[in-house]
Amino acid sequence: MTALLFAGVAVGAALSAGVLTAAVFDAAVGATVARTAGGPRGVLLTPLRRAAVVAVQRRTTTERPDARAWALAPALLLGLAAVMLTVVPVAPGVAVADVPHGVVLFGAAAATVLIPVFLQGWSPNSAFPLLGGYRMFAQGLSSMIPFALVLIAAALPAESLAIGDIVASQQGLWNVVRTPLGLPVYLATAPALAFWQPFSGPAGSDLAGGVELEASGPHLLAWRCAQYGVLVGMSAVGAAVFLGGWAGPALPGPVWVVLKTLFLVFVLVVARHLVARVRMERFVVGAWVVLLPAALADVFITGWWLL
Amino acid sequence: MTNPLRHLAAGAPAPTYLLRGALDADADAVRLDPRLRVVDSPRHATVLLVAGRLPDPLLTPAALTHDALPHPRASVWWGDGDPPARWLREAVRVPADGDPAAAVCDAHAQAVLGRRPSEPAVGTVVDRAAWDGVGPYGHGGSGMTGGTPYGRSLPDRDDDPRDGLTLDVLRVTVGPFFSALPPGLSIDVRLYGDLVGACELHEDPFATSGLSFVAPHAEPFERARTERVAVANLEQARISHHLRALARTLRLHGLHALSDRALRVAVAPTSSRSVERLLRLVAASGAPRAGAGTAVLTAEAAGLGLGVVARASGVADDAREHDPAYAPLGFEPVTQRRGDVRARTQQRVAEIRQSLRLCQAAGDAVREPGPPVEDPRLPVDALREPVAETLAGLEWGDAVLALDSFDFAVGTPRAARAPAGVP
Repeated sequence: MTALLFAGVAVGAALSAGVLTAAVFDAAVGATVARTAGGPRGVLLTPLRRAAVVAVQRRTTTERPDARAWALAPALLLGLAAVMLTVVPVAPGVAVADVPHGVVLFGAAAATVLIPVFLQGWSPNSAFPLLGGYRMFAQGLSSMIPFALVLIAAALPAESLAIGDIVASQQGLWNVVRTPLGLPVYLATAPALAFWQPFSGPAGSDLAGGVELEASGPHLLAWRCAQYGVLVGMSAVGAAVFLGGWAGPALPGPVWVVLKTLFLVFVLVVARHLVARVRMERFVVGAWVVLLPAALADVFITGWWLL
Repeated sequence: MTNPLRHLAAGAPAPTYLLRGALDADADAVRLDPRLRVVDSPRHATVLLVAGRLPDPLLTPAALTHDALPHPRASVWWGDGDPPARWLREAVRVPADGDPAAAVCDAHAQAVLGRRPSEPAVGTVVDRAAWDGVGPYGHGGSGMTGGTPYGRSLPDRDDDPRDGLTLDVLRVTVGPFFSALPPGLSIDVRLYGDLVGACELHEDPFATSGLSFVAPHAEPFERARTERVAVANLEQARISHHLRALARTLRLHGLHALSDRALRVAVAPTSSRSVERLLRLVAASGAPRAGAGTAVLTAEAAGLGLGVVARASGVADDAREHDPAYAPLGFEPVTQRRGDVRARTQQRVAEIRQSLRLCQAAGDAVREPGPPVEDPRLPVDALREPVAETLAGLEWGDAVLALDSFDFAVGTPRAARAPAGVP
């Protein structure tokens, strides 16, 4: 029981710290691109202040929403973000859930993200959120297979599906080199599953926020935190699977895990502010015609390397 | 004792939903004020900023927008004279030449801290019977298609234009305060899922109500009809106009920070180097390359007198070509060929660069009144039906981008483009 409590606190703390850091990165990069004056204090305080505004707003409702499903959506998304973080090892044998099929658990959690996003779109009984939900299905289904394939390719050298083993197998040569197409395909599909710009069609401006359109108050706050959480979870696993996890000179292993995770979060945040949204049709075609063959090639290249 | 969370919230940039009305002040500049943050949905705002007079047809939609804001909420009326609606009489008032951001910021803080009661619903009467759907949540079931049985249009059944499968078709009116459309503009669409089956653009409510207005950045074009105006001033105004259009496009592409930067460059006098840096970032983002083959307007359909839109379709029609003030500058119209969304965006970028060169070359040159003025503002009525035709068959996201690419200027006096189109 104590261990479970400790695990819960650890994941909660990691998730909170990750969400806050990602939000600060987002504010900092956004301010830099926009050339907004405000200084470091403003960058640090702005996410907190914005969160506070959303928190004190009252929740609105729509005509005949599916209230239970609507309330469930952010909780489910937050839960999936937490599941993603549980499988990330911070040192040899040290993970909240050091399970033998960690990469499968992570993949399942990432694939399941489209369920809460669709619920968030369908439940308010409103046209634009519903369109956002449908977009998520098109986007999610197209990106899942290449996403899973590059994870499998990364697991091949380890001959194990445990993320700890995958990290251990990268001693000397990280998967970013050994499976050269893995990280690019991962970075093209992970934001799609996290509906993160440039794949933010489900929450696009052309839908006035899409799945977020009707949400307000604590519900919206939980939803946005959950999205950042998913982003952090995917970055943490990406750092473990492709960038050698805890491996690195001088600094302790957990510090390297954090640094590498933050590096990937930063890359995704920069992409958010500098890369235009990809049209849904173009993404779907690209996912099947480019990303899927690239992911298959990644599996074959890795297999050839091992032979 | 006040909740510390509320104190923190009170210090935040006030999330604001902007209702753009007929106002001669620069409402775009409000977006750049760090004391507020203009949001895309009224659900995410605490303050409704009504900027200028609204024509009668927009008063009910404005009231509905007001009621969509979550509590605590407040309204700010920015303009001179009496507010256009009774429910705005209790709103915080700012004169047209006042500081709306300060009023918004104050209204936000007062509402969040509970020092000002949250505004009640305006109580707009909407003729709707109770939702009477089938199933545990009333979302569907037999008899839930076609007509308006509960005071709201329910989906019809029709064959999908793409694959012929029968599915629900939703008739919806989008606007007049939908953040992705020009303020005040409404469109009726038949949606086949994400696909626009048919589309109709409403008339410009400002023009039909006689509430035309001139934004400050467009003021040199108005003056040039009757007064001497420096060529550099006109070209600066053109750069500002195109950068504002580019900022709206970037927002639709999800690039809010880059959009703010474009708007900042458009609003404040700036160097050509900063404009070039911005254009390089915009090009690298991929936004100007979007929309190839989308919403094509042929040269024949575009014809003369449509400014940027015609030139993007390959029609070399530019009033400056026949203007004596531009002759010493070696002016030649720039054009694109394809007439699609991409061509219209790239035309704007090309004209920004052209205007930068003209500004430098013009020096103190002054333009005399008389010849037609090349005004970049395009009134909605100039192209309503052809645009509606180009939107049919597009996915919703593409349709919104396409509509944005025409850069309709609501509230523009009908005469704005009339003198242009010299053959």
